[in-house]
Amino acid sequence: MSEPIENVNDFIKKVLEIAFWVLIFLPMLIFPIILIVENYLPTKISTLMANPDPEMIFALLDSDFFRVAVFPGFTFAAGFAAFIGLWERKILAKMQMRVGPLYAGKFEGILQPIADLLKLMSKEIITPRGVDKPIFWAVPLITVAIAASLLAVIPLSETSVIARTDVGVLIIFAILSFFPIAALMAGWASNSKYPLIGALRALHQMVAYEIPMILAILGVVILSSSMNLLEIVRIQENIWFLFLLPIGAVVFFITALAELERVPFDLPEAESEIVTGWLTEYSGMLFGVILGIAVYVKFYAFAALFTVFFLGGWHGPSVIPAEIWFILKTFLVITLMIIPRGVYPRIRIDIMLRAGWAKLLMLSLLNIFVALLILELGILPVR
Amino acid sequence: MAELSSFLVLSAILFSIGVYGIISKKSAIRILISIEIMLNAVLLNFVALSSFQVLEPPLLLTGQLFAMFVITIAAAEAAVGLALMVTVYRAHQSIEVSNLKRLKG
Amino acid sequence: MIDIPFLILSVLAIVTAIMALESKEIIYGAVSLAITFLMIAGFFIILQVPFLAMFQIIINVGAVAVIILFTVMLVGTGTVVATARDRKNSIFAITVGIVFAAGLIIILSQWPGAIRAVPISLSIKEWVGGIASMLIGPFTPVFLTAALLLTAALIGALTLAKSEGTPEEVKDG
Repeated sequence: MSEPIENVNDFIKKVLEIAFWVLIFLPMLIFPIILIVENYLPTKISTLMANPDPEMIFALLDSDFFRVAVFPGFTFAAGFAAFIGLWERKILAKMQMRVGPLYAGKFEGILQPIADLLKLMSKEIITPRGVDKPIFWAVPLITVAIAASLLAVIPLSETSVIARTDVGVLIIFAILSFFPIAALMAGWASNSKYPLIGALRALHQMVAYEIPMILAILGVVILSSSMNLLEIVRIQENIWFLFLLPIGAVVFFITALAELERVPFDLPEAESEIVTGWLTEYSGMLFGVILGIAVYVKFYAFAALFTVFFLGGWHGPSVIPAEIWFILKTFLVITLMIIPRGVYPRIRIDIMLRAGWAKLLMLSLLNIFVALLILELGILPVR
Repeated sequence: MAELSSFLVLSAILFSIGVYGIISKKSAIRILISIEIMLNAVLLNFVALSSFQVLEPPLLLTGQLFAMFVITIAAAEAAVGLALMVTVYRAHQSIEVSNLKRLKG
Repeated sequence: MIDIPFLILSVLAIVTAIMALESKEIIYGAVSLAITFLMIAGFFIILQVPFLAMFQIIINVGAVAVIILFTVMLVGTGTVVATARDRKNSIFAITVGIVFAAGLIIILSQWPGAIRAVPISLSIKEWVGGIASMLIGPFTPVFLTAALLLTAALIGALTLAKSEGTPEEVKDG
């Protein structure tokens, strides 16, 4: 039992071994207790376990809790986010003629996310001296909460959507406006140079790129005459907005890269200049929570939003289910968003600000005129 | 849903908190914060009055329209006020309003 | 009579509003102010105006609270030391505040319109349509004035923040 664990394969083997013995022994304890207790309950649990009621399972699958916690909601997005992390490293490695993660798991380092998770969990969480403790500890939770609440309005298909609301687009921008506060609080509470510089850069960048993003989406809202994301996808059944509003799509793509702090807009966490920006003082699982969950869930959410706004959401030949179409399109967008990281250098901050405030703003205004022109010419069938 | 009068009472309390802040605080940022609280109290008042049928249909949504204007103006006021504060701080190394008496005769 | 969400939101709003003014560190005050804004948005949702609630969050939490935080960091005020005169002043201020609140509450509770009022609920289409027709109709001058004011505020803030300072500083900031 006491030989050292060399790699993840061994660890997983050990975990499975323990799980096996638990599965053997636990029923010996649990079943007698259940059999005793259920005499006093209105429903027979053992009957339900042996012969599950399909209606009950469908009711569970249809409940709000399941939606929020599992499928279109958090668990799915977090799992997807973990996979994005691996996918990003693999793609970058292939672009730079490396192999990338290889040893965890039998196939191409497929278990690398689990290995990363275990590594981060086993590390000590250091609270540096002089930090503002309440805010320092609150920021990771707040970032995850904000990123996860973006998922609430994203429709994966006609049925798998958490919140059906008429102000979906506005809700997205309302949620996005919390990120600068979280970054600023983290930078300030860390009581250190690099986090503060990173947070101020993040603030400049997010504020500068939020306005072109809102204006780019305004074109979509004009064409679909609704702020409901379901409605926006429904109207793209025949033609995607990517073909009607190419300028808007480009602007949204670039601003999404900037909001996500990805290369070439990774100034807030430029690791060669300011360590990791506003995340510098975080360690262990606090860092894992922000970077591994919040940042990548946000990444997934933005790719999904691009799919919703410009790639026609779940529409596609009905050979494949709607959700799978959506996931495939999102995956394509994610890959496109990863590629710049292997290609472009980081841009300078003044170029970044000038591009955001001048060029992208002009382009997004042009996009609105294009949308109005399309509406005027009647290219899109008006309902 | 709560009654109209409870919203009005709440906004009165928030407004009074803002009044208290403006009178008692010396730091210019605190005063700006009190102004923001007062503006938000007024905002709540407008929206509450307009969400209950107090006016007749052509003017039914006037309160909410004015709430939008109030939000806009609050943003403009905060931007100018804080820019002023940064300028004052550069000149005086302090933003306590009682220190700003160079113009006093 | 008074429902639970309203009660929770109102208690939080009042507590955070007081904290925004009374917290020792001004940065906590700025964060509390952001929470107060959020609570006001919550009231808008209770009043069934989700559009306005989102508007409130985007502008007040996303812009106003952020620039207040930003200024606090730029200006950097330490903890405030209260003198005897301050205490006298704050007692006076509390009295004024309480009298003000009492007066307002008495006036409002005697207003007969508040009791007769019934809530209205419009669909988002009706709501946006109503607002839009008012913006283009009788309120066009106000709308244009607000636009002018925003432009003036933008230019004014830029000029104020940019003036004073050596050429190097201006180039950097």
